[in-house]
Amino acid sequence: MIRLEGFHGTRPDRVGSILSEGFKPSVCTKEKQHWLGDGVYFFEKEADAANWVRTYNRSVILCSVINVEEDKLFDLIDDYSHYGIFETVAARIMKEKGKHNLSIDRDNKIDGYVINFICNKVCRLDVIKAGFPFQSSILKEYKNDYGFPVSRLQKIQVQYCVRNSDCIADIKEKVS
Amino acid sequence: MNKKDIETALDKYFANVSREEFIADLKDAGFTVYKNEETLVRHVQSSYTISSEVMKNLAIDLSMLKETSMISENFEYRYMPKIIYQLQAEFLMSGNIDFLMDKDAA
Repeated sequence: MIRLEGFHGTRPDRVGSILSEGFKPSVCTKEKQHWLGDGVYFFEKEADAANWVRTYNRSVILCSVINVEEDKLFDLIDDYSHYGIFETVAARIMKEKGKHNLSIDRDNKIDGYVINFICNKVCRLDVIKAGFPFQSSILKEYKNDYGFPVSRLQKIQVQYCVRNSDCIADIKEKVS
Repeated sequence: MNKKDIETALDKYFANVSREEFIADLKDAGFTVYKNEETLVRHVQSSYTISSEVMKNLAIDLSMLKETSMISENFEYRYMPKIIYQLQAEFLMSGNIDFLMDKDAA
C-alpha cells in the first residue's frame, strides 16, 4: 500500500459537508474538463494548493491521506510504462474512431476522457498521478521580444486525481 | 497492470464492440462524439467551411450555406475532407466546387 498526502482547495461553505460526507468527485462534461478524468483532485504540495486558492478566490485548504494499492496507482510521472499505456489507449481510440467514421469534439483535450475510458473499459485505477506544466508568467512577457519562449523550463505541479473515494482518509482543515 | 495486458484487453474490446457500443463507451468516458453526418450538420449550422478549390467533383450551393449558417462574404470554414462526401443533397448542385478544409487538421 502506498501512502500519499494531498492538498485540496475549496470554499468555506463546503468544508462541513466534505468533513462529514466526504468529497464529491468532479465529473467530466463537455463544458467542464477535468484533465485526469473523473475524481477528487489534490495537489501534492501545499504551496500549489495555496496558490490555487488565491487564484480562484477560495480560502480553505484541506489535507488528506491517500492510501492506494501499488497496482491501482496510475503514475504518469515516474512510471514510463504507465505513460506508455496512456499513449497506447489514446492512439487506439483515435484510430478506431476513424474506422467507425466518427469525429470527436476538438475543443477539448482528450486526456481526461482517455483516462475515464481506461478505467471504464480496460482496468480499474484508483489514483492518477500526473504533472501539470506551467510556464513562467514572468518570462512569458518576453516572448514577443524574443519571437519564441525565452526559457524551456517549466514548473511542474503534481496533482492526484482520486477515483476511489475509499482511498481518502483523515481529512483535516489546514490552519494557516 | 502492464502494457501487454492492456493491449490484449484493448484488442479483445475492439474485436467485439459494435459501433453503437463504442459510441456509448466514448460518451460515458466524457467524449463528445459525432457521427460524421452529424458533424456535417453541426459545422454547416454553426460557422465553418468553405475555402479554396480543393476538390472539383462536387458543388455546394453557397447561397444556401450563407442563408442557413449566415456566413459572410469572407467565408472561412473548416471541415474534415471526408465529410464532404456526406453533404446533404440540398447543398449540392452541379458545376464548380468549392471545398471545405479543416483549419485544425494537422
